[in-house]
Amino acid sequence: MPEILPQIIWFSLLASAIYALIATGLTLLFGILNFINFAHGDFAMVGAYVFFALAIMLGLPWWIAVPLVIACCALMGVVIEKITLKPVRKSPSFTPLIISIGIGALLQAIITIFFGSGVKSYRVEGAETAIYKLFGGSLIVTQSQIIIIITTILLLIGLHIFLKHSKTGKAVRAVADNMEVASILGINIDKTISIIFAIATAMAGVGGLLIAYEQNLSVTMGISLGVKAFAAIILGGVGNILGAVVGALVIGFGENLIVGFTPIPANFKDAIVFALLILMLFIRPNGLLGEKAESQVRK
Amino acid sequence: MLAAIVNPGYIIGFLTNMVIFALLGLSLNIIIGYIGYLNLGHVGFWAIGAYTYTLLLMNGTNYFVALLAGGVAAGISGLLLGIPTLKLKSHYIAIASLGFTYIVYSLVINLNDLTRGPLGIPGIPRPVIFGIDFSGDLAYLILSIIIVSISCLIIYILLRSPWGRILETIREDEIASKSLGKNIFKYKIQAFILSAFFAGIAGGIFASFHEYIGGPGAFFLPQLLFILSVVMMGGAGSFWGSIVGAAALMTMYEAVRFLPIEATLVGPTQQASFALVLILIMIIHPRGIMGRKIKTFQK
Repeated sequence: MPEILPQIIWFSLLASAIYALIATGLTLLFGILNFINFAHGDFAMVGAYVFFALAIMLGLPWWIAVPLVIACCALMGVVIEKITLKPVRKSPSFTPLIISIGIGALLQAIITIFFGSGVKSYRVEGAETAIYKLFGGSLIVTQSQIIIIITTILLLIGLHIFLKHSKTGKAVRAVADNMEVASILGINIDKTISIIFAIATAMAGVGGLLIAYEQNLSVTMGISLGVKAFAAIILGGVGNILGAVVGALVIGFGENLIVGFTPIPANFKDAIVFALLILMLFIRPNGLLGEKAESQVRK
Repeated sequence: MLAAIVNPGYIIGFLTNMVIFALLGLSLNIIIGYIGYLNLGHVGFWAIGAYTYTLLLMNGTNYFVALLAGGVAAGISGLLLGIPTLKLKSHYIAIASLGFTYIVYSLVINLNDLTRGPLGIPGIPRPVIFGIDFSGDLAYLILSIIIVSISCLIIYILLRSPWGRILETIREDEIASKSLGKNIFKYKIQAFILSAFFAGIAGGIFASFHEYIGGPGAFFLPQLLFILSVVMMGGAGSFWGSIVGAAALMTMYEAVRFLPIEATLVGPTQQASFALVLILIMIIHPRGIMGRKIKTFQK
């Protein structure tokens, strides 16, 4: 058993990195608009398919395709927000939540119409990725996995610097804190919300393309990613970016350790995450790091 | 094409499906429209009812016992889901109940000994009651209409009773109803059990109608989207709305089949059409066709 431990830890880190990319966007959106975006996993799925279309079908090199994926996803987020969510901004949080369920289903349907429902892969015949063996062969690491970890860390640090130190980032935090006061102080609310949507969907898109790079693409991949992101942000305390990262780590390690060291089959991964989530909401609704969340979660 | 429409077998199948989804929509409407929570676990209740019914019926249990047992099993699962979640705020209930749908789906797909997993259970019989054989399509439609009408009548009476009024009071002003000495948690749990019970009954009718249950993707998110659209299109909190919603959406569902598109595109086009309807209704007219103005969706 101990000889597979390094490999399980590595897989847990990889899973956590991708969940963190998706969960931070979700928690940003929640912090500002006070609704849970059920389409967030599907934004990641769209990112993965846009990369598939550009890099595999059109054969563009990755250093052109990746920025295009980020641009497409950001644009998609902004357009979706303007068309569907802006008109209901004053409605109770139920309305945008149901709309986001519809958006997720619509994105899945559109991608199925264009790409078919079969499983796809970025892997090109004959191309080999570099593989590194560490700890005397007990840990196998591929080049793509290292890229995933590095990209995630860079993006999260970038987001942190943006929110803490840039002028726009400060505006974002002000709007998240109190939209009315921010608007009185002259912050452009519409613009700030668009920026948040652009960042959140772009990060989800990158997360989607990274996980598709490591595994495969399918139209339903976003559902499972969305689940993990919900779980991560609730574990970490909703609206809290550091919390989302911690939550992603807990989910990533939790599911891989449970599947690695207990007889529960891997098929139950998502169900385990959700069962833990329901238990968590029951016992400690404010999350692992949350403080004042009692009033936010329970009535 | 016209021949397909006027084919009586086709119309009977269409009507039976409509009746089943009317009951599913109405039972979900108890939660969404009357206590104002977004319950995404309804498909899970439906699946539990369908599998309980099927397993009992195929082991020689009496039809009515099996049908009621399906309802009771679903009702108990409603109780089990309600206890940890009903004290949470609405979006957390949405996520926790979505989790319930996942957990039930994982169990259905992975408990091969019981449910035959993704293969599903074929050869589910239709009943013979008091010497009357309901195995023909028309006879089974009549039986479905009778059972669904009785169920709807019970729901109608309960919702119009003082009990139903208290549910609406809780939705409109929880603190006020608490201050009138009502144990609101008890009422919510009762509503959850009632809703789940009738979803289970619908599961039983559904199983014998198709004479088959299961398969990958059955009792999962596409069906959830459909039932949610039925409720929102008809109008949350409207008894007749769910029935009208089921009729309208079922017609739309079938109409897509007659579009001049490839067979593989029918499924995603259907999904896209419900998703669009759901999004448009929530933006333009969140009270649906027949709904009243309720606090959950409009301020």
